[in-house]
Amino acid sequence: MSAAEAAVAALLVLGVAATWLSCLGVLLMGDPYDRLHYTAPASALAPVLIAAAVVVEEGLSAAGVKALLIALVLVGTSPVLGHATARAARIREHGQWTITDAERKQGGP
Amino acid sequence: MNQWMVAALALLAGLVPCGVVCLRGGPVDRLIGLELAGTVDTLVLLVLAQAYDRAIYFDLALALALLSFAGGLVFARFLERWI
Repeated sequence: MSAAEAAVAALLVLGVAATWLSCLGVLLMGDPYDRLHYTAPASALAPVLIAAAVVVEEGLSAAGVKALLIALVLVGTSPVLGHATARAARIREHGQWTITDAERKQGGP
Repeated sequence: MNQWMVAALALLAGLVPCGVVCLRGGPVDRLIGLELAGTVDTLVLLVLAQAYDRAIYFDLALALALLSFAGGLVFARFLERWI
């Protein structure tokens, strides 16, 4: 096994592990805000690791560049989606997503 | 069966917890399960494209990444207003 093959295998294992831990975290947490935290490794870390594995194997060919583009799209869009989902959760709970009057009286959310 | 195929199968197993989350809890929890499943699916298509060694298959993963983002936003918008 050459150094490049070992690097590909290691990157793939790390990417899959990040995805699994992310899925388990989402499964085990209780409320939506806690669950949202655990979607981050699968959508920010795993795509970068797997795209890096593709680039190590293929170089910057069409496949490598497309893999990097997919990783970039996932890394760029997942925070927006997380924010939109948390906002929806808060609006369902409180009727507004900014700080509520009750929370302001308590001194914070 | 190369290492890419193994990685794709391993990633597919990650869909099971997402499915369980989609079946339980409130609407927002289910949406989070769906969003995570979209991400995992994108990664599966990315790894499978490399497993079959066809550069054109990467476009599927790219399309799914963009469409699951748009779909998630639409669901979030509906959940905060009407459902």
